Amino acid sequence: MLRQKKRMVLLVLLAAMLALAACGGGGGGGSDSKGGSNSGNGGSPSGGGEQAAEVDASNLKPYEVILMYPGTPQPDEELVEEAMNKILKEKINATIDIQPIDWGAWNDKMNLMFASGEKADLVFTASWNGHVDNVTKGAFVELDGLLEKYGQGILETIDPFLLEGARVKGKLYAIPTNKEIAASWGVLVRKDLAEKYNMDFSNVKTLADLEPFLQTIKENEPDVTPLFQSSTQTLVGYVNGYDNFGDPGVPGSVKFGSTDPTLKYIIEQPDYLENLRLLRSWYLKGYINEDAPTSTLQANETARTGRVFMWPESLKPGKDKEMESTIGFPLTQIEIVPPYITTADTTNSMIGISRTSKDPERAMMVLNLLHTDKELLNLLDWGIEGVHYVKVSDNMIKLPDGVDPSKRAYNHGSQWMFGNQFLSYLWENEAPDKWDQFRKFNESAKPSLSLGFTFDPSAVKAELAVLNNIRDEFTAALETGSVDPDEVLPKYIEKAKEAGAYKVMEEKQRQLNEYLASKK
Amino acid sequence: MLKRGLNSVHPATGALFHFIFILYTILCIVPIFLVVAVSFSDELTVIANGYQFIPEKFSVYAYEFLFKDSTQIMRSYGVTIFVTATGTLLGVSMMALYAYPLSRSDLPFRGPLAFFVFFTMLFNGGLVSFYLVYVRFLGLKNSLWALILPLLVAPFFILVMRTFFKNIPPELIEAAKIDGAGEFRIAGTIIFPLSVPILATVALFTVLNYWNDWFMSLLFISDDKKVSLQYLMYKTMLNIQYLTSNSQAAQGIAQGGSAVELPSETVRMAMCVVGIGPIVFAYPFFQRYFIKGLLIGAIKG
Amino acid sequence: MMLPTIVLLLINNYLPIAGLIIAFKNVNYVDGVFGSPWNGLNNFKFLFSTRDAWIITRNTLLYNAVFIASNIMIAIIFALMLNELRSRWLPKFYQASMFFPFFLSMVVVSYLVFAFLSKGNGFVNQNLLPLFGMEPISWYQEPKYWPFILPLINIWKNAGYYTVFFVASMVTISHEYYEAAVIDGASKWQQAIRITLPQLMPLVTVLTLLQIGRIFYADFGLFYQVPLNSGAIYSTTNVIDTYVYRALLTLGDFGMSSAAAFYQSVVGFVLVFLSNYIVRKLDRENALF
Repeated sequence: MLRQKKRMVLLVLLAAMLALAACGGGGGGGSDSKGGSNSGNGGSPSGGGEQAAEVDASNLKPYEVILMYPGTPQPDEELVEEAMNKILKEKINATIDIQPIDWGAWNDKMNLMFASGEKADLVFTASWNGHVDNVTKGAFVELDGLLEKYGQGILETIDPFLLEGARVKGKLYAIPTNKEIAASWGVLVRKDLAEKYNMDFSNVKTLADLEPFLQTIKENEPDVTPLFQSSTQTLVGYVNGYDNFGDPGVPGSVKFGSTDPTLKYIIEQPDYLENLRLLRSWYLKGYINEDAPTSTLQANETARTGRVFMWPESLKPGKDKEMESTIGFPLTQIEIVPPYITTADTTNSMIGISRTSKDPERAMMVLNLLHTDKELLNLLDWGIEGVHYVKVSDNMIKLPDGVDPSKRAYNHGSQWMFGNQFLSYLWENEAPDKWDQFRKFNESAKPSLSLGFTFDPSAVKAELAVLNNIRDEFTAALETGSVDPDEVLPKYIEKAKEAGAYKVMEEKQRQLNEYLASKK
Repeated sequence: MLKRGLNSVHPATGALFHFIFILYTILCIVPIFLVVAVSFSDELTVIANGYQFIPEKFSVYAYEFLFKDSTQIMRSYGVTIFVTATGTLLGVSMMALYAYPLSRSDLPFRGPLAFFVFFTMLFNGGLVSFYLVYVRFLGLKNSLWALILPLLVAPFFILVMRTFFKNIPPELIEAAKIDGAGEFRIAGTIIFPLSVPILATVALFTVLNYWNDWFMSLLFISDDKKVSLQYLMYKTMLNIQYLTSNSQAAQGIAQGGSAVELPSETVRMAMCVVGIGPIVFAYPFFQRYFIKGLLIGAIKG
Repeated sequence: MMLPTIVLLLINNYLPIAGLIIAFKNVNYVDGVFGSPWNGLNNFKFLFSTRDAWIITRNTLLYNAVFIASNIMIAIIFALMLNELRSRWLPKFYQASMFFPFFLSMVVVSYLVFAFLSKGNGFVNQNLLPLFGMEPISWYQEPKYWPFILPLINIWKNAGYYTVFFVASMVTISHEYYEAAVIDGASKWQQAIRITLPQLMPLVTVLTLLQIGRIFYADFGLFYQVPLNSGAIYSTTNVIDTYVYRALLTLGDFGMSSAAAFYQSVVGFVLVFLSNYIVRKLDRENALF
């Protein structure tokens, strides 16, 4: 009996070891997928003189292009795919598979997708979503050659600043969405309350100028919070006037409009401290919601209750009108930081081609169509005409009668990620000339000196990891005004220095200087 | 529980115990009521006035919102029930079959075998390799088995079960062997019936593990028809967490375009209710098995 | 009998362990996991380079030690008490209720705690403190209260879970022991100490050893959601898991998160080995392995 047992156990162990050995190759091999993407990686020669390739659908084999982006899966997705496929098949013998991934799962799934070599073609990416890091790890295909051959439509319509900003170490790895290329920063304000108290915002230039309005509300409207902030939406964070190169977590910024490329550490700057003191005084005076540093609510949510007067927001022409339908109250906006074009603005919404794509050329063709084919883009953006929207005029749309706004079957809210937004239909409550306004806005924006520069954090990752924790520890509390900056800010600075903030800044400065020198 | 009769506590002590338990019970149940109450409240009132036990303004909006895609919810309930039932049956059997030999002092290599199991609790190869094994090696992407396999065997339970099995008097086993019973027979007719309390306990916890799991769906399922219920409920929470903890993303998204719609607090509460609703009834179902221990006394006699 | 489990564990747990080498590499997608260049101990630096790093280690250890001890003690006490109740269905009701908090996700718990501890209109500040004539406290900004708050929440959430184990165990203790004790004139207290507790020791040992193995892992939800990610209280609420999450949220570095997992595993391993060794010396049969 015992003998038998012993033998059994040994047999089992033996079998196990064999199994391990056998699959050692398989399991490891999985990650060595240099596989089918070789065709794209450097395969297409870059450089001038490339003719735009003539695309003849009859010569192409059918291919399914997967589009991965963060957003909520929509019930009518398949219908939209079908409609898009009709166009795609005809033009380039391709079909599309739309794969939205919930925000909460986006990072994990993206990383796993790259690491495991799963097929994907068009993938959303952004500077604030680890684009540079992914490029360094080799996740994306280099696009210059592909763009020349199959992306003429993009080259013709896209603002050159956008492409400029998207480059990493001089090479393109993703195509930005063609939309507004700058952002201004300020606050959204309840228009009805402003009118009630005859508020005039035309002279507001700095944060301090906002105080009298907040005071008025505090004194006269006891149920309304004058200024709403949350841990990630702070006035100082939004409106500080510094360009942080797309990542506020990395120390080293330059003031907007400055021509001096010397990096400064924002938390050590006198104007930052001044702003903090101002917010602190406001907090003590009760202008700010008490739970600001720990609030998990967004401004939009609370604004809908009607109990909030003002909150920080990133602005563009018509933003106040755009938000009115969501918030349900009349709004107006006050711009405090004028528009500049920074790398951050140009890279906050891009589509790249994954190295796991089996046919990057086809992927580029689809992308090109999204930038040029109005019908295709609007299918992706808004759904099927007659089903998900109806036309009011040539360019304006609204919901079909009888459709409940809260139960729309195709409404992913991610339109700003795709193609050429200037081709997209406008909703009837938006300004009909919204796109013209955008163009003017784009033209009026000044490029920041950092445009085109992206920081590669590889050398200082350990320091950044520590700095992230420190930043989380202090920023929300300080910027919402819930703690005394004179007491707490020095601690923040000291900890940050100890963690190597200067080392990071030096590295960043070095890279910035290199970049600027290469542009001359 | 066990009746003692003469061997009871002083009535005053008994009363004290009751008192303590009643307090604690209130502490445990009251929050659930609050959650349910908030889920039936009007969203804006909640944001403005906070949580109330009796909703200031009653509203079923939260549930309407959740059930607007009722087919999806039904599907996910189906997926979760299937995965839970299969996983629990399979898992408890596998674990018990491993734990029992482990408890026998005549099993060779039982030290290393126990260690083999325990080691997996300590060392974890990381998400990437785990994902690779399932997706590339086993090819289970988008399969319900990817939801079942990872949770089948919990070393924690195996080792606890082993402790319980050790309690069974060896004389019983000896007696059975003398009668000529094989190992499987012994396990099936003697050991497991005597171990109903612990088997029920482990079954209950395994059910809970499966029911509450959302992570496996997040990793492996891309087809919405196959996601588990908890994932359906929880993914909105994850979205919220992502946006409220990641200021870069929040700013980037704000800059890039429209705001992401996050459901209100009432919906979050409703999600909780929908998620845990049925499982709350699992507990009483299993509880009666804990009492079966009276059998042991009889057998010993 | 044991085969299926062995195979499963091999595939599910042991195979992926190869991935631990990621902790020592600078992974890029082109070369894949196995082809990427080595990175020495660089990925571990962020865990040890500053004072904060030692604070998180301290926090993790201390909290878990408190959790282990308190969970087991309270569970035993509850189980003992439940055993003594004379009613038939009340104990079942109590036990079922104790279990409820376990079902709630930490996110919901964080909302509930907020309803209590919110500075402006939380239950405590508004209704409780004035009774004692105290000023409202800014709970989410003061680190010193959390070493008490978090264990309380942990007990509330888990006591029911552990009590089940002990109740199930007590139910298997033979009637006869107690009858003999009564005849010998033992009091309830003595019965508890001399009979019940010793019978529970194997279970207690196993549970404790198992938890020591995980002593470097924390319940992420408890330490991240409940304190609402408030920076001001990091000094007492930041543990290894939350630290790593915050550090790598924007960096997304595999090597570093792998390194953290490796660190947690190794320490747990060493501690458990030591504890198991000690237990073996004392009572061979109760050791884990």
